[in-house]
Amino acid sequence: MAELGVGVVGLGMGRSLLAVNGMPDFPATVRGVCDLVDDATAAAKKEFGVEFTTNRIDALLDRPDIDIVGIYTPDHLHKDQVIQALEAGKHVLVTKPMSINSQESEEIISAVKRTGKRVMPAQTQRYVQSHMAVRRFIDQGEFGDIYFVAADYYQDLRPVYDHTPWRYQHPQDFIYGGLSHNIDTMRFLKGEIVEVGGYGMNSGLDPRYPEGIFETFVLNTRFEDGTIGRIAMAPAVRPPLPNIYVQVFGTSGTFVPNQIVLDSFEGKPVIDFDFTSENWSFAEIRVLRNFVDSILADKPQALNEIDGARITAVGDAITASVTSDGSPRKVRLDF
Amino acid sequence: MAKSIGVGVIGIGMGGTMLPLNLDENSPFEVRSLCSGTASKVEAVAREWDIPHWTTNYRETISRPDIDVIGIYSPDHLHIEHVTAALDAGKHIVCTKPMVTSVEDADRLVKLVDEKGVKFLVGQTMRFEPEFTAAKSQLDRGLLGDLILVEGHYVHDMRHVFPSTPWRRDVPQDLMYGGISHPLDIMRWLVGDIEEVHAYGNRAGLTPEVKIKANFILNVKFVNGVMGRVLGMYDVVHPPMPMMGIGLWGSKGTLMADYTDLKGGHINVVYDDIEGQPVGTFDFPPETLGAYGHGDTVLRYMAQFADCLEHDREPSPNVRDGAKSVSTCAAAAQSIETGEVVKVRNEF
Repeated sequence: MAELGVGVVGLGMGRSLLAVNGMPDFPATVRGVCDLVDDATAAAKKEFGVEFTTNRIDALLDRPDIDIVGIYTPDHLHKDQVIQALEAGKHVLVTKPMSINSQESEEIISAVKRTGKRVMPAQTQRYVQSHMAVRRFIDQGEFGDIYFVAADYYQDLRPVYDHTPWRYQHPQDFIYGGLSHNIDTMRFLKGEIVEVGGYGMNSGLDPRYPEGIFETFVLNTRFEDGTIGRIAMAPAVRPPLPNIYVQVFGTSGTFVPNQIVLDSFEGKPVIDFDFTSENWSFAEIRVLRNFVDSILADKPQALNEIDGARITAVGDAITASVTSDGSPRKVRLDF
Repeated sequence: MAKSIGVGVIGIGMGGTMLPLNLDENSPFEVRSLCSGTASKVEAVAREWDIPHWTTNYRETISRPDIDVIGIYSPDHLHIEHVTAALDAGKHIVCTKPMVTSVEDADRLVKLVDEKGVKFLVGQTMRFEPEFTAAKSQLDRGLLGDLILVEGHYVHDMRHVFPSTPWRRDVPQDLMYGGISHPLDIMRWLVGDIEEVHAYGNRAGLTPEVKIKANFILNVKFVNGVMGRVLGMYDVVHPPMPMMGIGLWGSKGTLMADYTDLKGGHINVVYDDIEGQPVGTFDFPPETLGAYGHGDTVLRYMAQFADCLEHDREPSPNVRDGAKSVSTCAAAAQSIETGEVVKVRNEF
């Protein structure tokens, strides 16, 4: 029943999407892949039956059987490739961060207006099981009014650098490439972040990541309705904590991974949720599913280029704060 | 050991945790006077523990010549009155946290303690919990490498505490001092003085009569450049997380230690130089003595205080540590009001 064709650029992270070719009910098929590594494209053809392989993005964009292009390249390449794909008449799914500054966001927003095609930032944290469950509790009113939301990101980056050296060679700016996870999780659970401030440093844990750029952060945030939140990123020796650590405190219930307490239960028992173990690929596929379904139904997708721009704008405010005196900065929302 | 040092206790809720000193053969302390606002209660406790003197007038306790040390466990806002009176009488002091609730009062106490030349211990229980002392030992021995990031939290659904200590609701207690001093003090103990702080606060309104903010998030920068943060939530549906905790992110390891009243504590640690980086877990059994299970902790800090008195050593945390915790809390409170980063006063 595949109705839309998908092309994937960058088979490191983008490889996650290929699994849809083994799902008979999935309304899209990956019909083309583009990667600089020939072994990666050959494996996509052999293992997932992808018909078209190339190491040139324009060759992929020329394919009329491809409706959606997934961009899974290093962060600093996203903007040009997203615009190039839009100009070629494709809808674009782009891994986080959509852009690495607000100027880039503006260019993407104009390209969407010009071409009439869609952009969806692939913010996977919205599609992680436990976060979807928290959102369900919030939507059902079981937590009452939410007055605190936190999202921390803990990852030992050393093995990540090993298989994606661009992150230290280019280098990746984790205010955008890393914190976009935290930022969008908080937006998903609570709404727009309007103010953010805090401290950043370079942990020095991996000498390959250049001095003078930060990858460790503690940040306080304020939401549109005046409630508060916080963010940390610590690329340290693997901490004994979940990779993404979310806290939601409301007037009638609280959540930390993966437990809740509801005030309505006498004795306030801690309720444990034991989610099926799954890797991030499933979240990536849920993102694609939302995009495909939205296009086919002619409805808005879960996130668009304005969301991507606002996530990046939070990053800009963080940059301004952590590179000066740590005082909070207003976030630009008018895109 | 001879019971050579007389102790008077003001406030017998948490202060009741001093009473087991009388049963501890290794302690030179003997509680000889109890003071509480409730006459029937103080008499009952005194009779139960065979304490020779009880009163509802703290000046009686303080003025007794057979008393050398005053333990102050009264409501936070009364500490300054009780401590200054005890200092005027030349007594040594053990004062529960927060030492006081303003920088001006902290300043007064530091000067008064210096002038009187007495020993002063702030009863910060976290410094004396086994999982946190073990964490400090790991850090001090270099097992975690250089510190990158440190965090502390103390969260407590205060609705459960109000029935037994209604002053916290009715005064009300300012939990920026009464709550946040716990994680701030232990972070200072682990890392050093705090240079500046940025904070947000709010109230959830779970206890409508308490009108002040009781939920706080702080970012801190230490004088030595380490970054840190603090979570203190008191107007909160009890979150499914340990009541108190610290996190230490180091260049050679990451360690999380936690403690919950009456439930014991844990350390979870990952060392970089163990292949496979398994999570090592230490379970610390619950301690159940005294109010909130802090009885053993109080015995441990009183053992330190005995040593300080005997060998003329400085207690930890002392009056200056107490003052710096108070000034950090005050800076955080100011940050909440102004929205700006606020420098912390460390000169006392």
